[in-house]
Amino acid sequence: MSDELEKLERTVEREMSVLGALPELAPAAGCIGRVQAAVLAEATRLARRRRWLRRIGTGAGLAAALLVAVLAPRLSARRPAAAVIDPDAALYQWSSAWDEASMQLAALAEQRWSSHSYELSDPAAELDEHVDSLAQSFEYMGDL
Amino acid sequence: MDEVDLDDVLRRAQRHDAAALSRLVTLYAPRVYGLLYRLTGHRETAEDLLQETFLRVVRSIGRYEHTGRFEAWLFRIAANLARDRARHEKRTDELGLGAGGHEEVRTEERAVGVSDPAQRLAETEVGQRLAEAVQRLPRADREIILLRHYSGLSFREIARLLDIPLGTALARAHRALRKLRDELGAEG
Repeated sequence: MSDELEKLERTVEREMSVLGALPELAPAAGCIGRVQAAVLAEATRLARRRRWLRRIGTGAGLAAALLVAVLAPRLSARRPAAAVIDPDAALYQWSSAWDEASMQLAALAEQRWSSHSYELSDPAAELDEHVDSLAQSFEYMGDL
Repeated sequence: MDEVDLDDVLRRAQRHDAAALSRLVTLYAPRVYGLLYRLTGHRETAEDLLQETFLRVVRSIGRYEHTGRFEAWLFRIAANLARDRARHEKRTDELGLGAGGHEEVRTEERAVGVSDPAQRLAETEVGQRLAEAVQRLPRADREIILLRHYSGLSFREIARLLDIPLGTALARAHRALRKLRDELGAEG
């Protein structure tokens, strides 16, 4: 900062004392209570949403794992000695496994949706965990 | 509240602990309200923005990294909301959709901590004239000195917040404060 700016800043800081005479303000009676109530309602709403996302995320991770578990034996069993895979058959296997996994996921989400726990944690960390879980599943699938 | 207590309250608030969130509202709402009221000149708007400020705090406190600057973070949210509201109202007025001049200027102002009635009255009068003079300042100038007064943000931080050069922020503050002094002097 240049000397002139520093000097101006010091001057303005000194002049700010004039605002010391500004009367204090109080929000209307009940305002603080209303804000507190709104804040707590929002915190509860966020907790509920986070819980839901966590379960869906866990479900998605499990679904991917399930997909791998269902698909892997089928692909292995069909792989001939020459390791030639029929693309149409593989696609069919994949979509069947996906359907199965989706049904499992839906059942899981429904089952978890109705349970009751209010533990809170960092949503970003949870998301990372689920993404890692999915990434690992697909990586595994790619190795098949 | 000392820094250690605030650290603890903020840590708990980040886990959305109800008592900690309520404590933050109790601690900071009066000052945030003061800023919002002086910026908007309207009690209901200030109360509305006060609530919105704390809702934003709840939504984003998980991402807040405490480095001893919670007030700066909080007041930045409040100031941004007030700016957005002012822009919105300006647009509404330009379109002729607003209710028209809603500058309320004063309501429940009070002088505190003065026990002598005569002195209290005098201070109330000075304070009242000052509050009205502040309200007559151009919004851009008023915003800078009010942010400095209520939020604890430095002029550098205020300049960054308002996206203006530091020199401009200081010049506006200097001009505004000189105007206030002149007005109070002329009336007194």
